[in-house]
Amino acid sequence: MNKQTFYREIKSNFKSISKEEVNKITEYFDEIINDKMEMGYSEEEAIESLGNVRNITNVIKANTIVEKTNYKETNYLKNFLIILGICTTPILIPIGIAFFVVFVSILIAMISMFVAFSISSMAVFVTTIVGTIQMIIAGDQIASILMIAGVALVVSAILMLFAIFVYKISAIIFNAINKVFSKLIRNKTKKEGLSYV
Amino acid sequence: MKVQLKKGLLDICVLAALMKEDSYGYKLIQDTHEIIEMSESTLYPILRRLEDNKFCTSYKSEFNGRLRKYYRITEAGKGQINSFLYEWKDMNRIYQFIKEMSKNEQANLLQRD
Repeated sequence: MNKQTFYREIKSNFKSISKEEVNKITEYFDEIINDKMEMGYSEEEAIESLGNVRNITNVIKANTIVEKTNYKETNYLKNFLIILGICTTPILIPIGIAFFVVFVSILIAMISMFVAFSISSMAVFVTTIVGTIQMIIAGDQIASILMIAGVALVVSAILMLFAIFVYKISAIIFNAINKVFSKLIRNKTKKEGLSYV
Repeated sequence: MKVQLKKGLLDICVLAALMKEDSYGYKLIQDTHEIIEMSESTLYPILRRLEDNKFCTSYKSEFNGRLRKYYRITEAGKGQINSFLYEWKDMNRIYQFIKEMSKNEQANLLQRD
Protein backbone atom coordinates (compact mmCIF):
# COMPACT_ATOMS: atom_id res chain seq x y z
CA MET A 1 0.00 0.00 0.00
CA ASN A 2 1.33 3.45 -0.76
CA LYS A 3 0.79 6.61 1.26
CA GLN A 4 -2.08 7.90 -0.85
CA THR A 5 -4.14 4.73 -0.50
CA PHE A 6 -3.33 4.61 3.19
CA TYR A 7 -4.55 8.15 3.82
CA ARG A 8 -7.61 7.63 1.67
CA GLU A 9 -8.54 4.58 3.74
CA ILE A 10 -7.91 6.42 6.99
CA LYS A 11 -10.10 9.28 5.83
CA SER A 12 -12.93 6.99 4.81
CA ASN A 13 -12.78 5.27 8.22
CA PHE A 14 -13.08 8.56 10.07
CA LYS A 15 -16.12 9.92 8.30
CA SER A 16 -17.89 11.00 11.46
CA ILE A 17 -14.95 13.05 12.64
CA SER A 18 -14.18 16.64 11.70
CA LYS A 19 -11.83 17.25 8.78
CA GLU A 20 -9.41 19.13 10.98
CA GLU A 21 -9.18 16.15 13.30
CA VAL A 22 -8.58 13.71 10.45
CA ASN A 23 -5.85 15.99 9.09
CA LYS A 24 -4.08 15.89 12.43
CA ILE A 25 -4.21 12.11 12.35
CA THR A 26 -2.83 11.83 8.81
CA GLU A 27 -0.14 14.41 9.62
CA TYR A 28 0.89 12.32 12.60
CA PHE A 29 1.17 9.15 10.55
CA ASP A 30 2.86 10.94 7.69
CA GLU A 31 5.60 12.09 10.04
CA ILE A 32 6.10 8.57 11.36
CA ILE A 33 6.14 7.03 7.89
CA ASN A 34 8.74 9.58 6.80
CA ASP A 35 10.82 8.91 9.90
CA LYS A 36 10.67 5.18 9.26
CA MET A 37 11.61 5.64 5.62
CA GLU A 38 14.65 7.63 6.69
CA MET A 39 15.57 4.75 8.97
CA GLY A 40 15.71 2.49 5.93
CA TYR A 41 12.16 1.20 5.56
CA SER A 42 10.54 1.31 2.13
CA GLU A 43 7.25 3.19 1.86
CA GLU A 44 5.32 -0.09 1.73
CA GLU A 45 7.15 -1.54 4.72
CA ALA A 46 6.72 1.61 6.77
CA ILE A 47 2.97 1.59 6.18
CA GLU A 48 2.69 -2.14 6.74
CA SER A 49 4.46 -1.84 10.10
CA LEU A 50 1.66 0.41 11.35
CA GLY A 51 -0.80 -2.48 11.24
CA ASN A 52 -4.05 -2.61 9.29
CA VAL A 53 -6.10 0.54 8.88
CA ARG A 54 -9.14 -0.83 10.65
CA ASN A 55 -7.06 -1.56 13.74
CA ILE A 56 -5.47 1.86 13.65
CA THR A 57 -8.80 3.62 13.42
CA ASN A 58 -10.35 1.50 16.15
CA VAL A 59 -7.55 2.21 18.59
CA ILE A 60 -7.75 5.93 17.95
CA LYS A 61 -11.52 6.07 17.97
CA ALA A 62 -11.66 4.20 21.26
CA ASN A 63 -9.65 6.95 22.86
CA THR A 64 -9.47 10.69 22.43
CA ILE A 65 -11.63 11.10 19.36
CA VAL A 66 -14.69 10.07 21.31
CA GLU A 67 -13.95 12.77 23.86
CA LYS A 68 -13.29 15.34 21.17
CA THR A 69 -16.43 14.82 19.14
CA ASN A 70 -18.51 14.73 22.30
CA TYR A 71 -17.35 18.22 23.05
CA LYS A 72 -17.55 19.59 19.56
CA GLU A 73 -18.58 23.17 20.28
CA THR A 74 -21.50 23.49 17.87
CA ASN A 75 -23.63 20.64 19.06
CA TYR A 76 -24.53 21.76 22.55
CA LEU A 77 -27.84 19.93 22.73
CA LYS A 78 -26.11 16.64 21.95
CA ASN A 79 -23.47 17.45 24.57
CA PHE A 80 -26.26 18.19 27.03
CA LEU A 81 -27.64 14.67 26.56
CA ILE A 82 -24.19 13.10 26.78
CA ILE A 83 -23.35 14.89 30.00
CA LEU A 84 -26.75 14.00 31.42
CA GLY A 85 -26.08 10.38 30.49
CA ILE A 86 -22.78 10.43 32.35
CA CYS A 87 -24.57 11.91 35.37
CA THR A 88 -26.70 8.79 35.88
CA THR A 89 -23.75 7.35 37.83
CA PRO A 90 -24.88 7.46 41.52
CA ILE A 91 -22.18 9.82 42.82
CA LEU A 92 -22.85 12.26 39.97
CA ILE A 93 -26.62 12.53 40.42
CA PRO A 94 -26.47 15.80 42.43
CA ILE A 95 -24.31 17.40 39.73
CA GLY A 96 -26.66 15.97 37.13
CA ILE A 97 -29.71 17.55 38.74
CA ALA A 98 -27.99 20.93 39.05
CA PHE A 99 -26.85 20.69 35.45
CA PHE A 100 -30.33 19.77 34.23
CA VAL A 101 -32.00 22.62 36.12
CA VAL A 102 -29.49 25.26 35.01
CA PHE A 103 -29.44 24.12 31.40
CA VAL A 104 -33.18 23.69 30.98
CA SER A 105 -34.16 26.95 32.71
CA ILE A 106 -31.74 28.97 30.59
CA LEU A 107 -32.91 27.07 27.52
CA ILE A 108 -36.53 28.00 28.25
CA ALA A 109 -35.57 31.63 28.85
CA MET A 110 -33.62 31.74 25.60
CA ILE A 111 -36.36 30.09 23.58
CA SER A 112 -39.01 32.46 24.94
CA MET A 113 -36.81 35.46 24.20
CA PHE A 114 -36.16 34.20 20.71
CA VAL A 115 -39.85 33.51 20.07
CA ALA A 116 -40.89 36.89 21.53
CA PHE A 117 -38.45 38.85 19.38
CA SER A 118 -39.16 36.98 16.16
CA ILE A 119 -42.94 37.08 16.59
CA SER A 120 -42.98 40.80 17.36
CA SER A 121 -40.68 41.41 14.40
CA MET A 122 -43.08 39.51 12.14
CA ALA A 123 -46.06 41.31 13.68
CA VAL A 124 -44.53 44.73 13.01
CA PHE A 125 -43.73 43.67 9.47
CA VAL A 126 -47.25 42.43 8.71
CA THR A 127 -48.80 45.51 10.34
CA THR A 128 -46.58 47.73 8.20
CA ILE A 129 -47.78 46.13 4.98
CA VAL A 130 -51.44 46.13 6.00
CA GLY A 131 -51.16 49.70 7.29
CA THR A 132 -49.43 50.92 4.11
CA ILE A 133 -52.13 49.40 1.92
CA GLN A 134 -54.84 50.96 4.07
CA MET A 135 -53.16 54.38 3.88
CA ILE A 136 -52.82 54.10 0.11
CA ILE A 137 -56.52 53.21 -0.18
CA ALA A 138 -57.40 56.09 2.14
CA GLY A 139 -55.45 58.35 -0.22
CA ASP A 140 -52.85 59.66 2.27
CA GLN A 141 -49.80 61.58 1.09
CA ILE A 142 -47.13 59.30 -0.46
CA ALA A 143 -44.30 60.96 1.52
CA SER A 144 -45.86 60.33 4.90
CA ILE A 145 -46.82 56.78 3.94
CA LEU A 146 -43.21 56.06 2.97
CA MET A 147 -41.85 57.58 6.14
CA ILE A 148 -44.13 55.64 8.46
CA ALA A 149 -43.56 52.40 6.53
CA GLY A 150 -39.80 53.00 6.60
CA VAL A 151 -39.65 53.54 10.35
CA ALA A 152 -41.82 50.47 10.94
CA LEU A 153 -39.60 48.30 8.76
CA VAL A 154 -36.50 49.46 10.63
CA VAL A 155 -38.17 48.52 13.91
CA SER A 156 -39.05 45.11 12.48
CA ALA A 157 -35.46 44.56 11.32
CA ILE A 158 -34.04 45.56 14.71
CA LEU A 159 -36.36 43.09 16.45
CA MET A 160 -35.23 40.38 14.05
CA LEU A 161 -31.60 41.25 14.84
CA PHE A 162 -32.36 40.80 18.53
CA ALA A 163 -33.80 37.37 17.78
CA ILE A 164 -30.66 36.39 15.85
CA PHE A 165 -28.50 37.78 18.64
CA VAL A 166 -30.34 35.65 21.21
CA TYR A 167 -29.84 32.61 19.00
CA LYS A 168 -26.11 33.25 18.59
CA ILE A 169 -25.43 34.11 22.20
CA SER A 170 -27.24 31.02 23.43
CA ALA A 171 -24.71 28.80 21.64
CA ILE A 172 -21.95 30.52 23.59
CA ILE A 173 -23.84 30.30 26.87
CA PHE A 174 -24.74 26.63 26.50
CA ASN A 175 -21.24 25.66 25.46
CA ALA A 176 -19.94 27.44 28.52
CA ILE A 177 -22.40 25.62 30.77
CA ASN A 178 -21.45 22.28 29.21
CA LYS A 179 -17.80 23.03 29.69
CA VAL A 180 -18.17 24.04 33.33
CA PHE A 181 -20.19 20.96 34.16
CA SER A 182 -17.96 18.52 32.33
CA LYS A 183 -15.06 19.98 34.28
CA LEU A 184 -16.99 19.49 37.52
CA ILE A 185 -17.69 15.90 36.57
CA ARG A 186 -14.08 15.29 35.68
CA ASN A 187 -12.89 16.68 39.00
CA LYS A 188 -15.47 14.71 40.91
CA THR A 189 -14.67 11.43 39.16
CA LYS A 190 -10.97 12.04 39.59
CA LYS A 191 -11.45 12.55 43.32
CA GLU A 192 -13.49 9.37 43.60
CA GLY A 193 -10.90 7.50 41.60
CA LEU A 194 -13.32 6.58 38.84
CA SER A 195 -12.21 6.65 35.26
CA TYR A 196 -14.00 9.05 32.99
CA VAL A 197 -14.59 8.45 29.26
CA MET B 1 0.20 -6.73 31.20
CA LYS B 2 -3.43 -6.00 31.95
CA VAL B 3 -4.87 -3.26 29.76
CA GLN B 4 -6.19 -1.14 32.62
CA LEU B 5 -2.85 -1.01 34.41
CA LYS B 6 -0.89 -0.44 31.24
CA LYS B 7 -3.03 2.45 30.07
CA GLY B 8 -2.14 4.72 32.96
CA LEU B 9 1.50 3.73 32.81
CA LEU B 10 1.85 4.58 29.13
CA ASP B 11 0.99 8.23 29.72
CA ILE B 12 3.61 8.51 32.45
CA CYS B 13 6.20 6.67 30.36
CA VAL B 14 5.74 9.10 27.50
CA LEU B 15 6.06 12.03 29.90
CA ALA B 16 9.18 10.49 31.40
CA ALA B 17 10.67 10.10 27.92
CA LEU B 18 10.15 13.85 27.47
CA MET B 19 12.07 14.70 30.64
CA LYS B 20 15.46 14.43 28.99
CA GLU B 21 14.66 16.45 25.89
CA ASP B 22 11.88 17.45 23.51
CA SER B 23 10.89 14.55 21.33
CA TYR B 24 8.61 13.42 18.49
CA GLY B 25 6.30 10.51 17.68
CA TYR B 26 8.69 7.98 16.20
CA LYS B 27 11.45 8.67 18.72
CA LEU B 28 9.05 8.38 21.65
CA ILE B 29 8.07 4.91 20.51
CA GLN B 30 11.72 3.96 20.09
CA ASP B 31 12.68 5.32 23.50
CA THR B 32 9.92 3.53 25.40
CA HIS B 33 9.94 0.42 23.21
CA GLU B 34 12.18 -1.65 25.46
CA ILE B 35 10.18 -0.89 28.59
CA ILE B 36 6.60 -1.00 27.35
CA GLU B 37 5.00 -2.15 24.11
CA MET B 38 3.23 0.73 22.38
CA SER B 39 2.01 0.97 18.79
CA GLU B 40 1.91 4.15 16.74
CA SER B 41 -1.87 4.23 16.93
CA THR B 42 -1.74 3.92 20.71
CA LEU B 43 0.68 6.80 21.01
CA TYR B 44 -1.52 9.21 19.07
CA PRO B 45 -4.36 9.41 21.61
CA ILE B 46 -1.82 9.54 24.43
CA LEU B 47 -0.12 12.59 22.96
CA ARG B 48 -3.49 14.20 22.36
CA ARG B 49 -4.55 13.55 25.91
CA LEU B 50 -1.30 14.83 27.39
CA GLU B 51 -1.54 17.97 25.30
CA ASP B 52 -5.21 18.53 26.11
CA ASN B 53 -4.41 18.23 29.80
CA LYS B 54 -1.50 20.66 29.34
CA PHE B 55 1.04 18.09 30.51
CA CYS B 56 3.01 18.85 27.38
CA THR B 57 3.03 21.40 24.59
CA SER B 58 3.87 20.90 20.94
CA TYR B 59 5.59 22.87 18.24
CA LYS B 60 6.53 22.17 14.66
CA SER B 61 10.10 22.35 13.56
CA GLU B 62 11.71 21.74 10.20
CA PHE B 63 13.64 18.56 9.70
CA ASN B 64 14.99 17.27 6.38
CA GLY B 65 12.77 19.65 4.43
CA ARG B 66 9.59 18.61 6.20
CA LEU B 67 7.82 19.55 9.41
CA ARG B 68 8.09 17.42 12.47
CA LYS B 69 5.93 17.87 15.53
CA TYR B 70 7.94 18.05 18.72
CA TYR B 71 6.58 17.70 22.23
CA ARG B 72 7.86 19.45 25.32
CA ILE B 73 6.93 18.56 28.88
CA THR B 74 5.34 21.32 30.99
CA GLU B 75 5.63 22.00 34.71
CA ALA B 76 2.24 20.34 35.15
CA GLY B 77 3.61 17.31 33.30
CA LYS B 78 6.60 17.14 35.62
CA GLY B 79 4.19 17.38 38.54
CA GLN B 80 2.34 14.42 37.07
CA ILE B 81 5.51 12.33 37.14
CA ASN B 82 6.24 13.37 40.71
CA SER B 83 2.81 12.42 41.91
CA PHE B 84 3.13 9.12 40.08
CA LEU B 85 6.40 8.42 41.87
CA TYR B 86 4.81 9.39 45.16
CA GLU B 87 1.77 7.15 44.62
CA TRP B 88 3.99 4.34 43.51
CA LYS B 89 5.49 4.16 47.00
CA ASP B 90 2.08 3.01 48.21
CA MET B 91 1.86 0.63 45.30
CA ASN B 92 5.16 -0.84 46.36
CA ARG B 93 3.88 -1.41 49.89
CA ILE B 94 0.73 -3.01 48.51
CA TYR B 95 2.83 -5.22 46.27
CA GLN B 96 4.95 -6.30 49.23
CA PHE B 97 1.81 -6.99 51.24
CA ILE B 98 0.28 -9.13 48.51
CA LYS B 99 3.51 -10.97 48.06
CA GLU B 100 3.91 -11.54 51.78
CA MET B 101 0.33 -12.78 52.21
CA SER B 102 0.51 -15.15 49.30
CA LYS B 103 3.77 -16.48 50.70
CA ASN B 104 1.94 -17.42 53.93
CA GLU B 105 -0.80 -19.01 51.90
CA GLN B 106 1.71 -21.07 50.02
CA ALA B 107 3.38 -22.08 53.26
CA ASN B 108 0.00 -23.12 54.67
CA LEU B 109 -0.69 -25.20 51.63
CA LEU B 110 2.63 -26.93 52.10
CA GLN B 111 1.91 -27.62 55.79
CA ARG B 112 -1.48 -29.11 55.06
CA ASP B 113 0.10 -31.52 52.69
